[in-house]
Amino acid sequence: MMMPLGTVPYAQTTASLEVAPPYHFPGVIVHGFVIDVSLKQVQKYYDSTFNLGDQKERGFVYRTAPAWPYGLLLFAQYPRMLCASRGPDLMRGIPSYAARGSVCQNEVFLAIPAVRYGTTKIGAILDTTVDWALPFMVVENASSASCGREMIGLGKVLADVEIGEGKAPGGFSAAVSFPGWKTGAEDELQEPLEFVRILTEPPMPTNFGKDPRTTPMGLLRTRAGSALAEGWSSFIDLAERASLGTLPLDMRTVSLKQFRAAEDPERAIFQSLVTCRSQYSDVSDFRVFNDGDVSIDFNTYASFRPILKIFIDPAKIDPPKPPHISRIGVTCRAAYSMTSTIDFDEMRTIFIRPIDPGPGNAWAQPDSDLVAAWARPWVGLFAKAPQ
Amino acid sequence: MTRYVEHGPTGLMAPPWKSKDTASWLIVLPIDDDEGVVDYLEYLNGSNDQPAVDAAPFTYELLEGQQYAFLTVTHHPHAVRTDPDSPPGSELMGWNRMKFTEVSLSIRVGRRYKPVWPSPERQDQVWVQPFVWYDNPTMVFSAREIWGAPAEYMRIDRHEGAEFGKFLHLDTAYVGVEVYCPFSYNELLAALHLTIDAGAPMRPAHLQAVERPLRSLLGQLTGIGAKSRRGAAGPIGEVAFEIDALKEFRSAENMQLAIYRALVSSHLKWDHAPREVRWHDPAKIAVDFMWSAGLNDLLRKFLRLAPPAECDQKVPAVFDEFNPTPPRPACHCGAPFPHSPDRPPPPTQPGKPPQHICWDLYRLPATPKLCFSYKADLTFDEAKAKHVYQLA
Repeated sequence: MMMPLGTVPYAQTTASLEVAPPYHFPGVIVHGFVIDVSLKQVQKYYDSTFNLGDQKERGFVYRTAPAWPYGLLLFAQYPRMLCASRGPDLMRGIPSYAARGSVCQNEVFLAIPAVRYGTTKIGAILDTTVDWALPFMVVENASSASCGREMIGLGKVLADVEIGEGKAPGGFSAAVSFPGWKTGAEDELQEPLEFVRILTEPPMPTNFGKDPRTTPMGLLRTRAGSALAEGWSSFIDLAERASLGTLPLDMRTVSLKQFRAAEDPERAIFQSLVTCRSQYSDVSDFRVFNDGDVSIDFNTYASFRPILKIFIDPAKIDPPKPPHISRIGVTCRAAYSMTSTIDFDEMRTIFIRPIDPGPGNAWAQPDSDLVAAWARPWVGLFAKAPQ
Repeated sequence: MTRYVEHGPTGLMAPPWKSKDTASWLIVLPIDDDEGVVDYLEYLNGSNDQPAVDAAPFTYELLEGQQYAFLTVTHHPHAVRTDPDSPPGSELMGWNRMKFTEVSLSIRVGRRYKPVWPSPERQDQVWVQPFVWYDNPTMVFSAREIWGAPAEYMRIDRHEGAEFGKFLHLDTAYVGVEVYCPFSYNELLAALHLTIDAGAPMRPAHLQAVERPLRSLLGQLTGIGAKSRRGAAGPIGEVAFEIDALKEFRSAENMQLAIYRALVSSHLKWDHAPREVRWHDPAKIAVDFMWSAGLNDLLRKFLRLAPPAECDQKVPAVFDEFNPTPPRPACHCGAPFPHSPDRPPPPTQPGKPPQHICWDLYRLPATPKLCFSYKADLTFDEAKAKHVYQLA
């Protein structure tokens, strides 16, 4: 059997509950909140997570977008998640993934733009693109968590997401909890802890909450707001597109897919960067919240701090004096909700890091596939045809 | 060495870890047909439709004689990583002190090495676990991503009063679909209903009544009746059992291909001889597996448990194509059952996963041969890739 470089057949057990992508998610209810992030901290995260090894060998560098010091905290309610893969009707006598039915879940993640610059002359043109990093992601379905972690490299955590109606009908509230440690004391056991709580008034126009004329509606009126138009989550753009209702919206995520060695779990046996496309279509019911009506509070429990430090200035998380456990609020710049169909597809390994896998395991092949999505048709047009 | 990039949500329970004061219930289920074990060994060996590019220097094979499946429920009230380089409380890998409950099925198999001069042919006896269920997601991710166990997350309810030495009522459930069908929708499906009486302190006669091969397996898996090299009492650190698993991860582009595939071996050691060993009358134990498509192969092939034909009644036509013996309607035949057969309504809020366990499923009782419970301290000592498949 001829295999593509760097692969062997995956041995499938019929006991496995995980469903492989691509996926199709109709009727997703999305609540998005644009929050301030520390670009300095985010760049540290990019350097440690995406800018692996030597830049010359790598051929690219991920940087933050200076005009866009924001992250998108997104709550997605998936009423139906479907596998969209094509394949044989039966696999070892069992229906293919696509024919097995559907599941539902709530998902919460923080998305921050990660601009990939090609560092070679040609790469500066063809490999430069805007991806979205997801440094924090929780889901309510265990199989979804395992799939995300193992197949795509998204660090999904299994969590409990409680969603409600906020302060008044039509509003929004959510609380995300997952296992953690409060203080890190030596005898402390892991327990479910609340990570973030969010609360809004109903979307505008509303008689509840602050007078919209007295609140900034910040993002939409700032210079940074205009930069939004260049990214996926341009709310002005999104609103316009939503009014048309049919134009797709694309968001390409980038994640570090890596695995631990059995002998030494702090050693990696594989590291690669994977991008995937989340395509939003059929957007409807688009509503904007008054950002002055939104409160977002993170709990700074001990085991949550490493997560928070990815996007919040550590000085705000670690107060010099007790109490060491506190809530930290973040500024919301814009908030919206919509219903959309989401397709998750086009998984692509853009970079495999050459690593030292240890004695006897010289199997990791360095590889890269960095061409930006927009340039792919052109590169493909002039590429040599396969023999 | 290339370091694993630790960031916020990556902390796992990495070996070595110790678990103190564990409480275990071990139920021996005879395997009357080898089909499931053979099938699982083919999965490990990479034969049939999943050939590996290169062969491992060993193959897994069936051991002679009667086969047994050891269904184990272990409550870990206090497990902690013991690596001195990552002390508790340190960030990232230091977050590792937790409690959880584990339900697993273990089977003894042979691992035969081909003779390579000057080494002769050799056969080790190891354990394989067709399933491992945890009620703690950190353990699920640790098992899958570090030592390669086929771990799945389950809700595991130990009902009130289920303390060690008392009556145990344990239920497990997972989010899945009852039958594979494009119209199926996820439910919180019951997987195992288990009740075990309080039992009585084990007497030597209880162990002597067990046939010798099975007694040997018991000793290897639990330490019950096993003697250390130093004598009968005291530490029995030498008593360890080795669990082999296939650790593999899919390619991002083609999910039928793997970018890593290895056979991994991990060791569990009993720090001390099991304490407070209790014997339970098999007649007073109920082991009810609940049928759903995700568990079909495990139940049918390993334990010969399948929905009885007489329960095959009115079934929506859409299920016929995929389910020659469709599971509806529910069959709650046999002994009294404490759970309502009423099907929970789906959650009303979009996206909210089901919260109430569905017991409206085929109930498949298994017949236990033996049951012991015990307390122990154990160490998950190490994991090692015995063979890493060289990629094409």
